[in-house]
Amino acid sequence: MRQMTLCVALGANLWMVAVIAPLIVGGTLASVPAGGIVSLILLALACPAALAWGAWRRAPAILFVAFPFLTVLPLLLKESTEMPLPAPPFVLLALSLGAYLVATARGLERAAIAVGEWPEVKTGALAPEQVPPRWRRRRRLYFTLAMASLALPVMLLWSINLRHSTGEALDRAFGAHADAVRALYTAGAAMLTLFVFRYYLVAPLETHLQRDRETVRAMDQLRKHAKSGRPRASFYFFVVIALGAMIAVVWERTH
Amino acid sequence: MRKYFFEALAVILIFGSLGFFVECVSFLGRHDYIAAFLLMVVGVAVLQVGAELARLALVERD
Repeated sequence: MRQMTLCVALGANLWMVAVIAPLIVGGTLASVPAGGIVSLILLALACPAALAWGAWRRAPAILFVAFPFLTVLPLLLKESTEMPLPAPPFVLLALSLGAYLVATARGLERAAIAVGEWPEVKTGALAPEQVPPRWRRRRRLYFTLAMASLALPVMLLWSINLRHSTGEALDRAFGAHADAVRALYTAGAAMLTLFVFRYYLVAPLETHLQRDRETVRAMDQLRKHAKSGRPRASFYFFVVIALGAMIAVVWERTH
Repeated sequence: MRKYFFEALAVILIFGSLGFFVECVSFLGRHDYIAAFLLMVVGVAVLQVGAELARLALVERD
């Protein structure tokens, strides 16, 4: 549980920024009907409950998906329920969410090492001589994947919420419901970011950690085949398809 | 040369896929949902190729 302390602290910060502060600043509790107050309080309390349960069980699905979704749910419901809820500052919300996700990933990794699910990590001081080229290349790629993990959500959120042309297009297309649509697209962008992060940006690092035997085996097979000097059967198949497509395009343009 | 080629191509493809996702949002704003979906698929495919090249570059020994 000690490994999840930072994750819980930053999760509580995200909850305060996204839920509690807007509720207090907007005076929402004073302006909603009596039945709505109970729902709102339950929704507000569901966030720390999900965070505590996810941290206790070390459940990635709860910490990466359920808790962030619950914290932005009041903002998503704001339009449809006409709830007077001010939106938190975008930069503060983005930084809080980013810091929470990074802390959660590190906390889950350390927790997995602590319970022995992964082999014990041995650390030691690096040798004073120059770092080998392959390690410099690997550090560059680690940095690239980390920057891509940061750039993707920031660019999507900027494009949906801050870009002038997108705002005008949504206002023209949806009128009074533009804010609700913008919130829906933001939620979709968040889900896409989580999906891409897990399956495309973390995946190369995960397989690299396990020595990526599958890729090494495939590369050895390719090297052996390359020595034969002949292309594989699939090469001829795709050449026929490409030539057929080119002939079809030319025929379609000329007739 | 090959190791730098894999690395450079991986970086170009990973960051290039972001452009497809941003354009996807533009088409969503214009109600062109089919085009937006296709751009998202292309963006994910480009990202997948970039991730595979990153795996190859990480595996290279020298």
